[in-house]
Amino acid sequence: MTEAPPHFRVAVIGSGFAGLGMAVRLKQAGLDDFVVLERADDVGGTWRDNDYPGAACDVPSHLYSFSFAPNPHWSRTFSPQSEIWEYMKRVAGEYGVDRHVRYGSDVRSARWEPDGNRWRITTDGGTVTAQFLVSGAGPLADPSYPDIKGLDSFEGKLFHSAEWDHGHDLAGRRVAVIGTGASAIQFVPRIQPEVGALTLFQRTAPWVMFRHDRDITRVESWLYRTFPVTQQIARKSIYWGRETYILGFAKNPRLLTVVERLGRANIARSVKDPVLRAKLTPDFRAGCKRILMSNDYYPALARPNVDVVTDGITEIRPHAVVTRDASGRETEHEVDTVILGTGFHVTDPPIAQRILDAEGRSLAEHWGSDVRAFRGTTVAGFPNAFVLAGPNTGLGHTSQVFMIEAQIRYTMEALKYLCKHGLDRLDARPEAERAYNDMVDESMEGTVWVSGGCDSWYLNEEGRNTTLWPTFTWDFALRTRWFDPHNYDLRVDRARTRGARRPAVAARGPAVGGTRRRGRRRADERVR
Amino acid sequence: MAIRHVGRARELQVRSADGTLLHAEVRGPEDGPTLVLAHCWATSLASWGPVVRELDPNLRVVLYDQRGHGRSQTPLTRAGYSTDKLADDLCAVLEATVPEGRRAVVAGHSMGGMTIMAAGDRRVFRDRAGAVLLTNTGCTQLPKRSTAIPLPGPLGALGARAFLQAPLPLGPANAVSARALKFLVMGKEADPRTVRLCARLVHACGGVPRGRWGGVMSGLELDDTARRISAPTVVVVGTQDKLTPPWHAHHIAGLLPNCEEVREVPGTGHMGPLENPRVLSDLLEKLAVDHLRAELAA
Ligand SMILES: Cc1cc2nc3c(=O)[nH]c(=O)nc-3n(C[C@H](O)[C@H](O)[C@H](O)COP(=O)(O)OP(=O)(O)OC[C@H]3O[C@@H](n4cnc5c(N)ncnc54)[C@H](O)[C@@H]3O)c2cc1C
Repeated sequence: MTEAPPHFRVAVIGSGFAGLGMAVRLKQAGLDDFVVLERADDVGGTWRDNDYPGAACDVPSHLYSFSFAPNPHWSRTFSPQSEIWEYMKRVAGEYGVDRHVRYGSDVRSARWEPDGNRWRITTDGGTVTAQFLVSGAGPLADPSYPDIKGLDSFEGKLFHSAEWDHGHDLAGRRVAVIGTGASAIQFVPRIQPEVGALTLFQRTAPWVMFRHDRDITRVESWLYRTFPVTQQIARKSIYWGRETYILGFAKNPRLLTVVERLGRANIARSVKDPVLRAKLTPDFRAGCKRILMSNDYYPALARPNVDVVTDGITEIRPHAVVTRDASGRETEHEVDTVILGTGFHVTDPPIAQRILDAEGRSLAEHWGSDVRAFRGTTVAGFPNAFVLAGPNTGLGHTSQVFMIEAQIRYTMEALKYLCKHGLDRLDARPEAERAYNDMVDESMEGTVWVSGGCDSWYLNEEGRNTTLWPTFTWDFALRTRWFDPHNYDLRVDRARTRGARRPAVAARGPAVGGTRRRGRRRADERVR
Repeated sequence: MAIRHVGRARELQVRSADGTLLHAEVRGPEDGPTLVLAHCWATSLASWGPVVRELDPNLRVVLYDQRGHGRSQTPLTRAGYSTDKLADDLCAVLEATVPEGRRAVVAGHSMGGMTIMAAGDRRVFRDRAGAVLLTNTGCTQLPKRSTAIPLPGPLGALGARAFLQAPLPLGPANAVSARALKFLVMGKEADPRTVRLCARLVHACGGVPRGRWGGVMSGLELDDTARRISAPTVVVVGTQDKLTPPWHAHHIAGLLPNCEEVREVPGTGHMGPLENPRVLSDLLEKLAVDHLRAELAA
């Protein structure tokens, strides 16, 4: 009666750096049979949504961009959001990715159907099925609203920084900002001159470093345009410069005292009031939480119209934020506007509740609070699925796009391997996943993220770091450079090999054809 | 380089289908019959300058920089270079500058001609092109037919391919490079001022986009879409054109369902708009008079 939903070889969720990068690589490999499911009405992910004043990347743009699309025209070391978004839209346009995107398609559920060997994906914009599922739903895509009593009862304007209300004029208003994370330190200096009074509610003071941001000169831009190798050199230099941070974060956290000294100097430079200085000085090892970078954050906080409140928030009333100090005394801060700079669902990504195994159990249930995957990408029990920017692939110091591209390469290698050998299903082996995560945990020991004395969004309820990659990023790139079939249960594609004598060899797929094969192929690879 | 066709140009930015921003300039009376001119490889819209200066001031002239040239954006990736993209860009410019229901004379020089032939099957082009002029262009076998590199047989084709694709920066224009350029792209009679102008234009073009476009052109295969150009068309070529020798003009004429004329201009090379602007302006005016009747009446 009902028509079968459209079927694709690959379905990609999301169109941020991960979803777009995946789509481009599929196109480059000549695989056109894919769909990108995007809940919003444009591509861009993080850089479409986070358009708050002052939004910019904090890894230099020459590194924080696709390896296959160098842009000689970045205007600044740390480019503003609008430029990054424009960049992503152009890359998508040049590859014609937008023709594969279904907008307004919030994925409600993606369920594995073993009989059909496919994922059934229901979205707001209809249902599709696909043999492979690639989730690029984003590590920081879903704004986190704090669990504060009375949040809903506030009668002024309240919004999250990732959903900035540009129609709301802040001029002259009394504004409360809750949170002092990466977003807040970018927008606070921008709105401070405009607002009447700004009250910043800080739970933990972050370490904020001086940011060496500047315009990219015309000479540089000319050089990058004319001799592309110079831009490669710039990119690689930034990459290796950033990799050295790992020496402090992961190998020897004592090195971070240097960073702390710089951080304190940064406070001292702009803040003269000793009380405020004390409030702004962190009490944990630098790097334990994301190190932030800004040149105008501290100066903005030192302005007379700003008040930094470190007492905990107890509730929100229709016209005020209420705090309680150590002695139990409550204070009511009357405000017109509340801006939440409270970050995102990181250790509990909502997409995990929507990806279901054959029994209908969600990835979130499967994980509990302990989010884990094999090579950050595949999860035992969830066949033919790949999670980009998955567990333990996050970074505090360098470009997330680097990790995402490594995962995309791994996913492509897997698809090509399956295709080449006439296989139609892969499922990570639980023991491989276990061994991999033991390795991750071991690497994590002694790093600042678990020993630095802070409670950060990197950690799950049990204090296990489920989000960050614990060591050098080139280490991850090497681990994902080649597909490793012995760590997977693989299934021979019977439909394609029917009637053929040597099943695994006889099947030559049309799908991922036309690609130049670069991966090394070892003779001892087993096909099961 | 200033183009003196009646008054100042009105500049506009046109967004192509894939988001690339193109720089376009419109000259002449807003309601005049329109010409849309697409320029050649490794120059900019300024290479139409000498022709535009000759044109009747009652004509409205639209020029635009091809992507990777002049003031238009350069693609970020390899995927941004293809004949499809050229066609997208032309269609975007036509949509932005030729009002719905109106028609224009669309002319292309070399890569600009390839642009038109790539757009032959596009609805926007078919609706808006009242007549077409193709000068010094080809739609297939570019390296093979080229006589630019005086080496025997396949070596010449290889040489032409290398010349097209090398992404090398050219450095400042100088007498030696100007000579080389003249040898490659212009007729023997070309006067020194024209050669200098050409050298200036070519040296201003970025090495990377030049090489990438050269790559696209070495594999050019546009017979199918060229056949779909239904508008009356004039094909022009210089008898000494080494990059797209007269063979191409006759080949194209054979494909077009509605070819009015093949004009061989004696003694000139590949840079028609610089070398024989008068011939082109006359032909363009004639096409406008013959085929933009509705627009002329308006
Ligand atoms: C303000 C901010 C600044 C940052 N700066 C940096 C930086 O400087 N350097 C760095 O390395 N990293 C930075 N990050 C981290 C950033 O998230 C990653 O670098 C990267 O952009 C992640 O890309 P993604 O494609 O995985 O996710 P996203 O960009 O978040 O894209 C996810 C996409 O999936 C869509 N989606 C989600 N769920 C669904 C669903 N159920 N159905 C359909 N579609 C869905 C979303 O709409 C979105 O378009 C920053 C993050 C933020 C929020």
